[in-house]
Amino acid sequence: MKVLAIAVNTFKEAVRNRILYVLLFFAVLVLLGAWVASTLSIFGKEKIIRDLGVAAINVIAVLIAVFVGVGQIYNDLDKKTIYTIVSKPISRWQFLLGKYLGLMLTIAVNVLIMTFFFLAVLYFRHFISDEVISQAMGVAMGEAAGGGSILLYYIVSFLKSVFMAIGTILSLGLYNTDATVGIMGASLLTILELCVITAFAILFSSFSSPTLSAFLTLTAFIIGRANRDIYYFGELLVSRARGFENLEAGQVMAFYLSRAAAFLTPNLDRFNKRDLVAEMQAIPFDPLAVLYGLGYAAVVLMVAMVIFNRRNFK
Amino acid sequence: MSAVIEIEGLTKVYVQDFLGLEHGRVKMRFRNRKRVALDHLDLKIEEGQIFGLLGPNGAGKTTTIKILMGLHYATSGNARIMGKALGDLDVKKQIGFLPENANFYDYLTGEEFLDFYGQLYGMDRASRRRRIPELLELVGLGHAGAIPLRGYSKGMQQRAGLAQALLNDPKLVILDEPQSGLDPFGRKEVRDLILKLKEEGKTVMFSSHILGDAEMICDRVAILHQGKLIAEGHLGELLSTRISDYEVAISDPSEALLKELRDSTTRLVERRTDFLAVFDSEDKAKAVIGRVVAGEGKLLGYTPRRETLEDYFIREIELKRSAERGNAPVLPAAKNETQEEAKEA
Amino acid sequence: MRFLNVKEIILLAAASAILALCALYQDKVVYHDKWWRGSGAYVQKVRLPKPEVVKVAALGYDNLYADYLTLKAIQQFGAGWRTTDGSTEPIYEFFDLITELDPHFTGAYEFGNMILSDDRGDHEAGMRLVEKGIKNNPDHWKLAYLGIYTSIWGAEDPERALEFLEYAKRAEDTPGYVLRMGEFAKRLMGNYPAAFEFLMEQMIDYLEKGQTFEAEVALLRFQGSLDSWYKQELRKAAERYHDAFDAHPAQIEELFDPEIMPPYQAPTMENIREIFELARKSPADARDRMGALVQAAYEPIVGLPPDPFGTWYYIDTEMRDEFISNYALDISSTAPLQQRFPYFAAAREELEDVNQRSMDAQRFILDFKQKNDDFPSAEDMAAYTTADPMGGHYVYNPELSDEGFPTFFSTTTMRVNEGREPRMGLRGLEMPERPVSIEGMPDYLQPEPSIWDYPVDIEWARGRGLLEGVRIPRQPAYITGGGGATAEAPLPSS
Repeated sequence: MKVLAIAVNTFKEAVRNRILYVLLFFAVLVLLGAWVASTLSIFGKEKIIRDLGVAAINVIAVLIAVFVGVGQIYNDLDKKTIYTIVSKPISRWQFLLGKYLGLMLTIAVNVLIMTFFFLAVLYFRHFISDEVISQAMGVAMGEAAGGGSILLYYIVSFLKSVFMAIGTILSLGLYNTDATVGIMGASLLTILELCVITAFAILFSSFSSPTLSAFLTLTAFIIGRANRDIYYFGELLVSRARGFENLEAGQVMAFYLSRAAAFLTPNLDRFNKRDLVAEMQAIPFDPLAVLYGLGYAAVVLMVAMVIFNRRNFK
Repeated sequence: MSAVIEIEGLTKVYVQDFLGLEHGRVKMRFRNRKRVALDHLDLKIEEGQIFGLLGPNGAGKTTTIKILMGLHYATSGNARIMGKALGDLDVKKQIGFLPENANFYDYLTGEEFLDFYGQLYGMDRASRRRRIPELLELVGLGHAGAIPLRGYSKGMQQRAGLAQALLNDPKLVILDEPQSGLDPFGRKEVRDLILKLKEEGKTVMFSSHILGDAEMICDRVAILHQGKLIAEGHLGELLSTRISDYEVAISDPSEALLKELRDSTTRLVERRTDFLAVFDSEDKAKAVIGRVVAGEGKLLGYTPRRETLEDYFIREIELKRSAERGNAPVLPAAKNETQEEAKEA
Repeated sequence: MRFLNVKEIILLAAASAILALCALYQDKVVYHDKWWRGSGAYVQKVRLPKPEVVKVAALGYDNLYADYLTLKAIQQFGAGWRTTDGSTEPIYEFFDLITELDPHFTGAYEFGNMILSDDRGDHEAGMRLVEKGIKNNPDHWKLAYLGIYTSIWGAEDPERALEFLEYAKRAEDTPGYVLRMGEFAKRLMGNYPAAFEFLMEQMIDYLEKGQTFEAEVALLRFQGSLDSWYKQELRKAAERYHDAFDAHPAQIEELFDPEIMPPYQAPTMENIREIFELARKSPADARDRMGALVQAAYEPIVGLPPDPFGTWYYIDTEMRDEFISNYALDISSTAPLQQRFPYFAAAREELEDVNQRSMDAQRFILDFKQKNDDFPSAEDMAAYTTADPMGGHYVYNPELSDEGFPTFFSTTTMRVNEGREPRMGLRGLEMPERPVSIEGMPDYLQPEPSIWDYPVDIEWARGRGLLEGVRIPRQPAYITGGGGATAEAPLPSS
């Protein structure tokens, strides 16, 4: 209950501080990207638009987590707003958890709104593509004996797109067409990925300044994205030496180090199925990825709670 | 009467590590700079009292309060509130706290702000609905409930802060510098509010470096200086009833009287044709008044001055300092200077 | 209400002045940039990072980066890959990087194959790219189809085509005509009418599906296909000439004899373009009338064929003489015609050489300037100022032009340009119609007309004095028959 109050308040703060304006930026980006893709590219336009959309949703979510997330705790300390909160009958870990949940709520809502917009754009693009429109208008004209209105068609398509986008969101991506397959899945995975990144943002901001925590969070993000390469580094050593038994002592250590680093750092590749979106394939539900994401985030949060609990507020 | 707050040997040492970060816990032996903020403080605050924690800036008042509120951890020593260790959530439920220069989430409206804190106190929706308008009225923000806090003036924000401290109908109210940054009118309101809280049977602990505020309302005070407790007790015990100075304000004194004044006063303040003469005995003052009444000038005022908390405070600190240095106190000059400033203001 | 006071106005004026100065400077920079590029001497190489580095650095946004590189590749294509030094290796690496980042981006393989094979003529690289694509996307039949296509019509390697056919069979929804291509593969070699019919089917198929771009690429392919066909006709004539006189013809005009080169039926580019326009308007109609359209493309050709790329054919005498003195006796009379009469060339092939030679010379001039801080003298350039293969001369003018650079050009290209833009190769005075326009792309991104986009016919060339010193036929190179000729013309030779 108290945790919830803090979460809701954190969300409110993001909304009142105009964080949602980034959505406008996203809208412009997607429309501009669609326009650029269809102007500059001579093939694979739809693929480029899809790539751009899902990647933009992901990047913006990461940026929100990093740049809004790292400021959260610090601002409360800096402005001393935390004084009146921690002195209330609430534990510090509850405060931290509330902040985390509030941030996740902010990010999730942002991601879902962006996804909704992107889905609607894709549906609409489908409706107004040459083939569909000529087919539809042909039928309409036949029925209405020359009375088919292109404007009416656009309006109806727009409304249809909006409702279909809502349907796709509410069905968690189970309802889709060829135009939007996999996109909602990618967004859900993005939210899951952000669970981990936001936990890092909270962890770092629980003991360092925003600039430093932004840097550290981005570092964690980059390491997370390069996790697979860290793992393959060890494999590379083995394959270069043609077999594990041929490794020198130092290399053996490097091999185990790369293994350990790969297992300890977050593996954000698990949440990256954006190539499937480009291929217009559905993203399969991966319960292990969900467990991994939530579990990893929980571990990071626990560390953050321990550190935060030991702090003096200046 | 039972003790609401018991503080025993509370010590806080800030350590600045080689990175320049200040923290209270990490002990590093390498090139750390230490600052003792609180040095073995012992205090006891009884129920139903208004307790003033006094001292100049940096005396350790805020540190004490922060430790009590669980914002800082003590280096050593311990403190108990209502008989329980610090950080006990049940105890926290019965405390209202207003920090110094408090900032709040300024994107919330007055009502949302109190509602948020109500939730933190674990109040249910119904009691929040009942209590919030009541409190807004109490602190005089009844008209501003729907305005975001960022639209509030400094005084209004301070009142909102008071409202959140009283939201849970606390038994113990801790206010850190509640009157700083307020205009005289606002300070009077805060003073009245504290007295009202006392009437309701609540214990109030507040800190201030403006001694006049404390003088009027405190039952007991503790005076801190550089982390150490200098004195603690009932105000009546601490302040002597003796009258220390006799001030005579004169306008247009005659040449002769002026010469007399220059010789006999402990201090003479001139402002154009007005003079403030300070005497150390009543006789001297009365003699001068007599001459003025006789026509050698115009009498503006006569004040026998009782020692104030402020005087006491300065005296104690000077005593302490001189004791450290092993010198005799040089009280009068310091005292009169303060006096003069006060008068001129 | 006053918005600005004097101080603010002064401030804004100062800011504007600084901005203007910056803009001026910027203009200078851009000008210099143009200057370097215009000289043709400064060639920027495309430098690409290693795929494995990019994959890490892309931070999981591999697809997006691949898209970005794809857009870049399209720009490069539009600019004629001027940023590479003419070799196709950087182009292959470009697409290798794109498909390394996004291995399932089938469009990139297709586009890369089109550029490498159809545009740059490096069929080997085109097939390599397609093979990589097939390995990453075994279900995508179109890549296998492109492999078959490139091996048959590009690399002329039917055995390779059969390898690709195996891939095509593995994909699930491969259309029948792709599978039939394998059966055609061997027959198609040297069976130009069948190839032509197949291409026509392709083009109409694309038009029917609304894939205008692919259809236009197919239109480009007709040029290459017809070129091989026409050269084969010339070789047949040369064979007849050889049978009659027991000698190789010295000049192409010698073949222009009804005995040696009887009228034959073949499609012409003009007809194919007409059919393309027709089919674009009503693709479904075109599909129904496929047979008639294929027939309509044919025309009886009397005499020497036109080069479908717009220039003319001739006998490369140097090559002929070398062939006769070194190889002719070793080749059996049953060997393919390509081996027995290899000396037919189209003017465009040599014009390309001229351009390449000019580019080399200009690069030499730039290197010389960098080394010696001075432009080379006429003596220094002696190695480059020789006769050009078109009968003109390479000329080096050490005097600095307006752009501060000495000029090097061929008198042949000079004639073509009538002295206007010696460095730009064979650009004519009037911009010709673009042979291919890509739908949906802005004008400036449309492919530059290349030298063979210019409608060079004999009259045109003679009118511009192009033919002085150039070995040209004594009479019009070809006569296309009217309606009457069609009936009398023999059937298409096979």
